[in-house]
Order: sequence, then C-alpha cells, then structure tokens
Amino acid sequence: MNLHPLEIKVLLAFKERNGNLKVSATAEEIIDISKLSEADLRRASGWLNTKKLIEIIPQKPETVIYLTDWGKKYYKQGTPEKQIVEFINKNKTPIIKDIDFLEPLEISEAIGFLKNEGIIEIKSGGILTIKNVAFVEKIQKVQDLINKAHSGMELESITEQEKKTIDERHRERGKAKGIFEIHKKTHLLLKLTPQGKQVLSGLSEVGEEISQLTLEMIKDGKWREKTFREYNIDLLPPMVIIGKKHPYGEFLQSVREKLISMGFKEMRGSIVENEFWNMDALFMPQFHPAREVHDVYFVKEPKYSAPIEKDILKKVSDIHFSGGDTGSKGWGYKFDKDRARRLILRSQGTPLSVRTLANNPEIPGKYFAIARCFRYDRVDTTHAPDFFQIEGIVLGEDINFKHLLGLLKLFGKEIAEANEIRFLPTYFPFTEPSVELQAKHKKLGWVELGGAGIFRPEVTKPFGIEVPVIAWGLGLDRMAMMALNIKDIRDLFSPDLEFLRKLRK
Amino acid sequence: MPTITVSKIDLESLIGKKMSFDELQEKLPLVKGEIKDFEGDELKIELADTNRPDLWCAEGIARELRVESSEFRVERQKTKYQIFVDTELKDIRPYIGGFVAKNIKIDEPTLLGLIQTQEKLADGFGRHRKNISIGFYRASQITFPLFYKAVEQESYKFVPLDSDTPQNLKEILESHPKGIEYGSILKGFARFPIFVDENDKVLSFPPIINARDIGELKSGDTEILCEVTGTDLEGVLLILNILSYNLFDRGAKIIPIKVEYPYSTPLGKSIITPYDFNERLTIKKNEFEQLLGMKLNIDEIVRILKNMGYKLPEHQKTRTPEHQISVVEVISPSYRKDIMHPVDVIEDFAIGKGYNSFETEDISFFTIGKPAPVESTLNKVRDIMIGSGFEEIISNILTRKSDDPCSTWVPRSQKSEMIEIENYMTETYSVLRNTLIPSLLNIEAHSPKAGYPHKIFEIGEVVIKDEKTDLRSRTFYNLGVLLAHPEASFSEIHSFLEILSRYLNFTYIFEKGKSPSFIKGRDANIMINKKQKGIIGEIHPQVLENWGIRMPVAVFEIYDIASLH
Repeated sequence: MNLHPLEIKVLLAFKERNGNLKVSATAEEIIDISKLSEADLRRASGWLNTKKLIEIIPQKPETVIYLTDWGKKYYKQGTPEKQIVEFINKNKTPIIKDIDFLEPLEISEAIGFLKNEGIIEIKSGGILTIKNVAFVEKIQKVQDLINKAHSGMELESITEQEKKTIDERHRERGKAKGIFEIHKKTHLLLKLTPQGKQVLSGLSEVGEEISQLTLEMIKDGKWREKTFREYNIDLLPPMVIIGKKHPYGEFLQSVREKLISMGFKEMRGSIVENEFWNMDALFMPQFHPAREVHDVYFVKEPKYSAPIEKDILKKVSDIHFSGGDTGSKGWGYKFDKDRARRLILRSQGTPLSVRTLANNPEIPGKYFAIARCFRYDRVDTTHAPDFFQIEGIVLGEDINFKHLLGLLKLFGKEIAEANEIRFLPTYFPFTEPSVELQAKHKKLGWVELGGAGIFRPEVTKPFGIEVPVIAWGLGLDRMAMMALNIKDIRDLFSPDLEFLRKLRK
Repeated sequence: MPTITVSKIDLESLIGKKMSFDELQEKLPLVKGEIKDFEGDELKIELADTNRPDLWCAEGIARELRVESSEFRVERQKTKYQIFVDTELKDIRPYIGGFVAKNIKIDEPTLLGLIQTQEKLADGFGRHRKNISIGFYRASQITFPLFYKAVEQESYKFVPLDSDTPQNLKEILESHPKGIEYGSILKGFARFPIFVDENDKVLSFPPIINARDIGELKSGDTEILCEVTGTDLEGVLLILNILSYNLFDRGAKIIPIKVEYPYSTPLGKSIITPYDFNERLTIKKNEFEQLLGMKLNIDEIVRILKNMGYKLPEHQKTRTPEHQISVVEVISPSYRKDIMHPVDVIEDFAIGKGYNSFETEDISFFTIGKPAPVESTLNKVRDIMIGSGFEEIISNILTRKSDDPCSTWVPRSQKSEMIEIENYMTETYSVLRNTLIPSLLNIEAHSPKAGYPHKIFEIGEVVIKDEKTDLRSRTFYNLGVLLAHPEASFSEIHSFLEILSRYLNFTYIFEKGKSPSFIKGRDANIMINKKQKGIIGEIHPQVLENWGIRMPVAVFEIYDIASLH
C-alpha cells in the first residue's frame, strides 16, 4: 500500500518505544508525538480513515474559552479600562487627549464604559477623575478573567458571574474587538483497525519514498537510487484563477463575427447625440411621446450641439411640416430648429445608421452597430440602466420587402439558430412596412428577436439616398441571458467577480 | 405602446362571430396587436401602432378583424343640432365638435369600454388632455343649441363629478382632484372654457371635468351626447370620427352637430361633425410592385385594401382602361389620419395579404464585412490583458456623481468634466463615467468573497465634455486595470503596464503624480508624447475605506487606448 508521508507519521505515532502498538490515541497525543500540525493531522487521518486503516471516534464536545488577539494584548498590557484608571492615578491632570498608549477606538469605548459604570467622570477640558473607587474592583475582575483564560479554560469551570462578563465582552465591542472567543471543541479519538495494525507493523521508517523530483537529483543522478511515491490521482487539484473574457462580451463578439461574415461593416459613434440625429432625421415628430423627459435622458450642460448643416436641417424641417418633396403629407406642425440641437444620450442605435446615410454610404452596402443606448426606465430585472442595441442597415438598388424578410430569416437562422421563425406587422415611426421577427426558441417558445422595416422616404430623401434602405435591429438580451443562464438583466453587468467567474457561455 | 383590456365576449359580438383564443391570436397581427395576458373573459391586448388611436379599443380591433367594413354614412345636411363657439376661445382652446348617438343601449361593458377609450385617447393621444379632451353626456337632459364659451373664473358654479357641492371654476382647479391634475393646461388664462346648453345649464368645464348627473352616463341610457375639445382641429375631428364609428358599430344612430365659429378655421367657420376627411389616395400599381418585390393585379390590391377599411371612389368605373390597370385609387377611412405617404397604404396591403404569405428572398449582392477600426486595437489589448492573467469586466456607463464614495478620486486633469443628465431618475445613474477606475473599484467592493488575487480589467467607453466638437463631448475607449491582493503594489502593476507598452509598441514616461487618491509617492501620470495619457498608482487606504475594500489595490488606466496603436 502506498502511503503519504503524513499518513506514515500518523501511523507511527501509534507505535510505542518498546515496539508495542497502541490501540487508540487522542488527536492531542498524536500531535504531541508526531509533531504534525492540526491541519495536517486532520488531512492525513481523513485519508487513513477512507483506507480503513484507522477509525475516527468523536468524543463529547467541550466548550473552551480563549483570548482573542485583543485579549492577548490586554493580558500583557492590561485592559484599556485598567490602563486608563492607572493613567488617572499616575497623573496630576489626566486629560483624554494625552492618552497615547491606546487606539482611538479603544479610548472612546473604554471611556464610555467607565462613565456608564460610574467609575469615572469627565470634567471640563477633558480632565478625568475617579468617581467611585469601590467600582474599580469591577475592572480588576475582567483582568482576572483574562489572566485565567490565557491558557484556555473550560466553560464548566467558571462561575455565573464570570460567564456574564464573558458574554458582555466576547466579540461584541466594536467590530471583532472582543476579548474572549468561545470555541466548541470536539476531541477525537483515533483507533487503529486490524488492517491498520498490519500495515503499521510492516512500516519501518519514513523517508524511503520520495515525492518531489528535485533539480539536484537530476544533476547528480541520485534519482536512480530513489523510488517515487505514487500519487492519489483521484484527488481534486487546487483551483487556479485564470484570465478570461467577459461572458456577455464574448456573446456580443460572436454576434459581431456573424454579422461581419454576412458582409456587414461596423459603425461606431458618440454616446452623446442631438435630437436631430436621434429623432428628427428619423421622422419622429417633435411632439412624439417617446421624445419626452420620461423616455430620453437630456444632457444638463451644455444643452445644445453645434448647428446642424443648414441644407439638411431645412429639408428635414420641411418634411416634418409638409412632407417636402418626398410625396408625403408630413406631420403638419411647425418644426423647432433649436430643439433639433438639444443634446441627449442616444436612446437607440439608429442615429448611427442615419449618420452613415448622410455620409456617402456604399451602394450596395451593409452596415451594423453594437451600440450602448440609454433610456429613462426604472432599473429592474428586465431594464438595465444602459444596454447594448444591435442594429444596422442594408442599402441597394433592387431591395424590396421580400429581401427584408429574407434578411430577417437569415438572422433567425444564423444568429438565433432558430429553425422556425415568423413575421408580424409592427410600427416604427421611421420604417414602412415594419416587421417584427419572432423566432421559436427551444425553451422560451416564440420570442421577439428583432424589428425591421424599409426606411420611409421621409428618412432617406434628405440625404440624397434614392435606393431603398432596410433598417433592422436585434434584441438579443433575452437570448444572451438564456445562453448565460441568468434571470436578471442587471447580471449581464454584474459587479460580483465570484458570480462572473461562474458564468459560462 | 398602448395596452387595453377588452371582454372577449364583447369583442366577438362586435366582430360578429365566435373566435377561439388561437384564432384571435392569429388574426391580431392585422391590428399590430398581441395578447399579453388573459383571465376568464378578460383579454389584455398590446397595440404596437402608436399612430393609430382608432385601434386602441374593442370596436376598432373588431372593425379590422371583420371582413366587411362599416358602411357608415352621416347625413350631414339634416342636422338641427348646433354648438355656438365664443370668439375668445380662439386663444384658449379653439376647437370643439360633437354628435348625438341615439338608439343605443348603454350597459356596463359598453360603459367601461367608453371610459377606457376616453382615457386612452385623451391621455395617450391627447397628451393628458392638453391637445384633446372628451366628454360624454346624457342627451335626454340637454336642450339644444349648446354654447362653448370663455367665462370669468368665478362666474359659473356647478356640482362637478365626484363631488356634492357646487363650486366655481377657480375653486375646482384649486381643490377638485381633476382640477389639480389637469389645471396646468389652463395656466396663464384669465378666462376659462365652459360648455352649457340653451338654459345655461353647465355640461362641463373642458378639459377639466363634467357636471355631475348630466355628465355621468348611467347603465340604461339610450341617448348620449359626445363632445371633444382641443387645440388642433384635425385631432379633434379624428377623435370624433373614431368615437362615432365606435358607437355606430354598437348599433347607434349618429346625429351630427353643426359647429358655428366666430373665427375662421382651416375648414371654414361652420363645420359639421363627425367630419368625413374624404382623403383620396392615388398610387401607381408599380409602387406596390417595387416595394413588395412582386407582380400584382389591381383587383387584388383593391380587394385587400377594402378589407383593411379603405373605400373606393364613386367615379372609379369612368376611368380609362389604361388608368384602371396601372393606378390604385382609394379613400382612406375617416377614423385614420396616419396615412402620410403611399408606403403607408402599401404596408396596409402587405398586412392584409399576410406577411407570412410572402416568399422571402436572399440579398444577393456582395459586400465586404469589417469590424470598426478601433476593434483591432481593442482586441489586441484584450488579448494581452488576458494573457497577463486578468479577468475582463463590463460595467454600466451611467454612474453616480455627488455621493461617489470615491470622492477623493481625481482621475485625470480637472478639465475633463463629466456629462451630467438633467432628468436623471436616480442619483446612482446620473452621470456618464469619464474614468473606468471607479467601475473597477466597484467590482472590488462587491467581491471580497471571490478568491484572491483579483486581477481585473475593463476596456470600456467613457465620455468627456469637449466644447470643440459638434456634440460638445467625446466618446472613446479607456483601459482600466486593477490588482488586489495582500501584496498588490506599484511595481507589480507597473510590470503589466510595461508589458502592454511593449506589445502595443508605445513608449511612456512617468511624471510624479499628485492625486490624493493614491498613497503619496506611489503614483504617477503616464506621459506619452508629452501628453498625459493615463494614471498609475497604489490606491490610498482612505479611498479603500470609503469603498469598504479591505485589500491593498493598485491600478492603472490608459485614456483613449485605441489612439495608441
């Protein structure tokens, strides 16, 4: 049988000097003989127990009182109360701020205690005086108890009065600054089994087997004379912490890669936008409810962007009023040109698409963005304070509604890996026709995967875009949550490292 | 998106046939609707089209789901009912309209439906009654003609709904719950609107509240007056049209009212309501074909549009044959004002045809896909950090300002101010971060239980004010790196900065730091090409204590990391 050196030490402790074998021994005795630490003994006896070489028999538990680190300090120096009383007795004018031998927290607690117990008084100027000498005895009692507990004392051996004092002073004052610690201790009795006896009698001394191959052994060839202890390869290894990507970041990265593989170019832009690009250019009327303070975050200062290019602004404002030259009736209201410059946090990724349209896009072309967006929403399990939106455009001469549906079908298949999808009519102020894409998810059933449509002419014409433009957006957070097995959207941005380490895509 | 509650039985009776739950679910896309919830007979339906108030009620949904559309005609000239408008209302709340619905039996579900519709239209579409408000009255108690007047605030007294005592208009605004809720609409006006009958009996105080009794419909009523006031004529007429269709569909006979204005309106001084907009749309067939990508014939287009509520012009048969095969001519329903462009009609056709009946087509043209230019650098940085054993985090960009537990944190030069939100909902999310270090410290503060060492980094967007740019701000990516364990030190974090600089190929020097957030003498500004591009150091224990962190922490941050490569 292969034994670990620790196991061998434990077994050898059962061997008496005269060669006789002890039947049983307490843990303390074994530690005494083998010089093992408590932790090593615990490990080794555990292994021996599973190998059925020893039996571990727990004895009746006993309660032992020890001193905390603070208690040990007070054993040497005396309790803060005692030190302060001595300080008062030694000095002519004992002032609180002259107490330099204690920490501030200790001082305030000790002074408070002494005052409450009526032992001292604080006079003006922080001068301390002893009020009642008889009570000083009370302090001495605590000190006596500390001295008694120094080498550990059993709970059964102390008086009710002492118990009360300990209750008051154990791990209670301040944070973890108590004097006493109460431990329940279970003594263990280790008993050699018949197999154990057999193995032990075959054991001579430790040191014939080696565990670690060393540099020296390789150099001097001594390894030839050694035998290597076989390892228990069934043991769990220690955990290591490794560098890794954020799981939600990885999910977004995989979406990015899929879109790029479909020929999309990535767009990126500013988090701060003005209302013009976020809404006006998207034919959202300025009185639209989704433009109010309860839907969009407005920048406090400065409030306005630089002026919008005059020509474009005029076209868009005419379109809002009367449709301009787009063949539309328009919304029929007077457009507020200042409002167009109002700075906000982008509430959708679409301004990136419109800015692309305004900036000589490739025709035919495909663009996408993974954009952090912001909306005025109460933060809860389904609303994060900021979130990623995935969206884009496709422009081309012969683009039509069937291509829009074809694109959504492709997204359903490639990105959601859904075999079944369906299209539902929906509404966006900037697309017509507008479609909602739903995909059948293995576990969730029909889920909304995204929205799309063909940009209204009111949106594309001001930028001289004469070809149809598909605009699409994907809502993948539910899919991401499903993939990462989380229920609360806020956990996508969890600040708990332990939680993040457990997340797997 | 509006969500309404309807009774399934009521909806079925309006549609004219029983429908199973699944059948209903299948048909609701016609109104861009979806059943969100149901309990017993009660369905909660969410309607996606915020521009179609006619659909926000059982009657409107039923109208689209029925195959036959309403054959609704108002006999315009025969009305004897009138409303006279006071000249001073022109600047207060200029427009009014109404109609009388006869032979209707008001029962409990109808009443609840009317109240819900009134609420959705006035509060949703009418911007909390600011643009539109609606009143229903018991017509049997009213003597025509009616008067819509502007009066002194204390001149009229009446008992409003939900009250027992007569109050004047000023008192209502001051003490009645609805007066308090909607009073701001009339702020700044000396005189207020009032709606009275021939005997000067008060019907209502628009847009605030109706009079009790006369302005409170009861189960069993058979004749009601419906009135709408507002600031925009088209909106007032649209809502009246919707309401008249709704009551017509419930079997009422609609008697119009002639409104006489002393001032001119876009439609003249005398308007009969409900008002048929009679909007004629002429769309070339090939516009349908191009947008939808298929050959179509006029008959199919017209048939489907008719099912969607459009009407055909009377004279259609007289058109030339050529015209007949290439142009679609329809009249939009008068309960709709959302049709602005031929594309809106084409969408209605596509919806009527059924989106799922279209063949899909792949986009065939070739384009080259590419990540954003910054991505290659960001990916490289991410790889180096992960190779160095760091765990990536992603945090929220919105953060707090004033009670930032890291208030002694001065992350970069004072010039880079944070963008603050004017209408933030909670302080916790009230500014855009301009540094990543608080995000990293936040992780550290939340993770004392995670096994040490902690080696974390974030490559994340930050925003700073910049008056020189169009958007008065700049958004860019910083790299933040944090190290926390019992021996975390300047020299250890420095070695990771050093390795990063080698692989990203930039050189830097240190300038003595002055930030109180770091232990004195153990921080530096990272200077690249003589500009400060970052900060490095051991976090001051006071800052750690502020965050509740009980572990030594060293950090560095590099600003606009993508610009370095």
